[in-house]
Formats: sequence, structure tokens, C-alpha cells
Amino acid sequence: MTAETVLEFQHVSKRYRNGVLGLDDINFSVPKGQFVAVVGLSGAGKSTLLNSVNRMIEITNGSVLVNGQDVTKVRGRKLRHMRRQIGMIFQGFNLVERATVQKNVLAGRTGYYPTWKTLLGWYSTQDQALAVEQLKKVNLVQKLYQRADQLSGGQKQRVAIARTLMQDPTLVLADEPVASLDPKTSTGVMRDLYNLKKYEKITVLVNLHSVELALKYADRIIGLRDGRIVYDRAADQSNQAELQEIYEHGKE
Amino acid sequence: MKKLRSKWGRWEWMIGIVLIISLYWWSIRGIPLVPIQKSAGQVSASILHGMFNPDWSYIYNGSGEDLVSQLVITLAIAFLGTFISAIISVPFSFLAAQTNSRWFHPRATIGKLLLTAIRAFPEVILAIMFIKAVGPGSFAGVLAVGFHSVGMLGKLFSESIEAMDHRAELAIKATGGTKLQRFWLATLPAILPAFLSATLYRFEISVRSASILGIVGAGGVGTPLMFALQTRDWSKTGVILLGIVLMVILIDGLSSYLRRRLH
Repeated sequence: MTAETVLEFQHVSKRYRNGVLGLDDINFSVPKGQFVAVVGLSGAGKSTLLNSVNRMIEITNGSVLVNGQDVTKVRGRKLRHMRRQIGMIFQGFNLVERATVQKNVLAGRTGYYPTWKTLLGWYSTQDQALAVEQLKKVNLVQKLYQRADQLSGGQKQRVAIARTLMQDPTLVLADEPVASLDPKTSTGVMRDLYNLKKYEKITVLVNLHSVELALKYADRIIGLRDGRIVYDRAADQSNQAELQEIYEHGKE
Repeated sequence: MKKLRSKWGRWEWMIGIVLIISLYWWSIRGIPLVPIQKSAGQVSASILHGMFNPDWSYIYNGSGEDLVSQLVITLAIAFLGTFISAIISVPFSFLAAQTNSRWFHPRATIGKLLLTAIRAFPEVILAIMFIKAVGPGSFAGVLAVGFHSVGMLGKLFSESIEAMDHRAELAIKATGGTKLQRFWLATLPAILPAFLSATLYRFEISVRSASILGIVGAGGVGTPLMFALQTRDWSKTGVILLGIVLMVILIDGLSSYLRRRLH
């Protein structure tokens, strides 16, 4: 492939403190603008895989390259600058529930501000305008001054997407973004995630429970079982029956 | 098997009841008979009469020794004491908060022990000690309330830290925020309402205990109350008690209104 590589896993392993092997020699690379779905049983290592990209979890062996830079080697300010170019979407939305939608979206810009400016709540007019722009993309601009705890689950997740867009990321990680949403809302949120790839040319790595959603939105599907990659194919060459295989023979 | 156990359970019950009844019988038999004094009826009647005929002229006379002034001083003691302790409690609460579920947690254990030790001192004892240190008056009362409240507020604060939702913190971490930014943007909004609510609740309690502290000489409405009791000025006692009740009702109402608004 000629496109530049945004994310690369090289012999990545993760052993938890209790001795369980969470990831076992993971190797793959993702070119720019690809929408990758990671599927597998709970406990197969999907979350561990995602969280090791922006060092929310430390891996035991191997290296993870984001835009050619090894994330396992950076520390302090460099680590924070690494994190700010990687967006993250969580299953539980992870908004500051008591703050307004505007504050939540602006929080996505945190990595670009020195601490003292955050303490004073100084955001540039540019960024405030940008927050409105990002909310327009997820159709929530009318909620700008509402408190986050007054929104529905789907709206919260879309605020989280707007917050991630504020980071101006090259890569977005989404950890079970629709697992706590109903099917209809899920489709809406998946479409918003898909638009990240379509309009912003952002690379997206998303953990999913649902094979249907993976087949519908992803360019490529990676299957994990017991911390190992057991499936890796373009979505249009995948079929439901083969994908179901990933969910079988798993350790109980 | 099951039937057998239930039969035994009935016997357990009966034995328990017999034991309790015999314990009561034994202890009641040990009470020495104290004859009621002949003047008891008369004294009780005069106390009741005084209580229901309060000395209204005492409410306000501009001398600074009247009921309203003393109640204001009591409120001031409670307010300042609670305010000071709320600030001191914050570092204590972070020390005492058990932030993981591991059995061995030296920092939190030390913090919790410290808070328990502070709580163990009753306010009245603290007030007497502070009177020895700074002399009688409101300042000793403020110190007693402030010191004692740390024990309770620190515990309540640390419990709300333990129960807080850490998800927003993770999100700020993932955007590349520093620890301080995480604390400011995510931790603080999550715990501040609980802190304020606990402080208001403590203020209610402090108002009640500040009313008592005057009895040992630590300022506030307790001092005239004690004098009125000692001189058997029942109508003055009546008006002071009425004033305290009114103040406590008002403060409780205001505080619970504000706490409801915090959510």
C-alpha cells in the first residue's frame, strides 16, 4: 500500500500483574484514513489493544508506532503531545456531567493549553468558534449551553465525538462506543464516527461487539481471540459466517 | 434437616426471651428507691409556668447581652468554625481517601486514623482546652467547632472522593491534559457539590453545638442560658430556649433548601 501508515503494532504483548496474557504478539499496521473494526469476545483483549495506543495502559513488550513515532518511548510533555493527536471515545461517554456541552467540547482542546490558562478558563475566541463548528458536525449546536447530564446517551456520545474533533486528531480510538446505546441511536453514532473518516480523513480504530455494525461501516475487520489476532480482512471480503468463527473456541 | 433446624430456632427464641426478662428483673431489683421530694410538684409547675411565660423584654435591648445579639454570636461561631474546618478538611480528605480496593493502603489508613482521633474529642472538651489556651470567649468556641468539624467533614469529603466517577478524568488524560488540568476540569466539578453539601450539613450541626459551648464559657447563647438556669430565672430560660429552637429550625430549613439546589 502506498498510503502512509498511521498506526503500527510491532510484536506487542501485555501481561497483566496477575499473570494473564492480555495481548500476545500483536502485529498489524493501519494506513491513513482506514476505518478498522476490532471484534471479539469480551476479555479477548480489544480494550487492552486500544488503550495501549495512547498509553492509557502500558504494554509489556514490543512497540506501538503512531505516525512513525514509538509511543512506548515518550514521556512527560512528549507523551501529552502524543495523546492530543489521538482522539478517544469511551463506552461511558466520559463527559464532565455537571459542565455545559460547550465546556465539555472545549475540554478536548486541553492538550493545547498551558495549565495556568486552563485554571483561569481562558479559551481563545478561535477555539470557542471551533467548538460551535464541531457541534454542528454532530447536529448538536442547539445544546451548546445545556448541561451534559441533561442529554440522552446518544447525544452524550456525539458531544464526546465533537470533543475529540477539537483535538484535531489523526487517529481516533473508540472503545465500544455504542455498547450502552439502543440500536437506532447506535446507528446514528456509528454514522458520526464514519463521517470522521469520510470528511476529516481521520483514521478510526473501533472496538465493536456487533458483527453487523462492523460489516456495515468498517473498511477492515480485525478479530481477536485470547489476545491474538485470528482474523484480519477487508470488510467487503468478509462474511457473517466466517466472523462468527472468531466468537467460537474462545477460552471460557 | 430443615425442619429440625427450625425447631431448634424456636427454642433459641424462647431461651433468648427468658434470658432478657430475667436480666430486666435482676436489674430493676437493684435500683435504689429515691423518694420524690415534696416540693417537686411546685418546682415543676414554676418551671413550666416560666417556660410558657417568656421574658419578652430580653429579646432585644441594645446592650449586646440580649438574646438576638447572643444568637448572632452563636451563628458567627458556627459559621466561622465550619468555614475554617471545611478548608482544613480538604487535604485531610485526600489523605484519607482509599483510591483502590487493595487491602494494604497505608496512606488512607493513616488519614482515616487521624480523622477518627480528631473526631474522638467532644466539642465541649475541646472548648475547655481552648479556653485554657486563648481565654474564655467566642474565639475558643470557634476553635473548638473548627477542630472538631474536621473529623467529620474530612470523613464525609473522603467518602465522596472514594465514590466519585473517574471517567471524565480519563477523558481529559486522553486529550493530553496534565494532572492539574485533569483535577481542575474533571475531578473538581465531580466532587465540589458533595463537598458543599457536606459543609452545609455540618453547619447545621455546628449551630446546635455552638449553642451549648457557651455553658463552659466559650461564647454564644449558652452563657446566658447557663446563668438563667443557675439563678432559676425560668422565664428567661424559656425565651432563650425558644430563640435557640427558632434559630435551629431556620438554619436547618435554609441549609436543606440550599443542598437541594446543589444537584
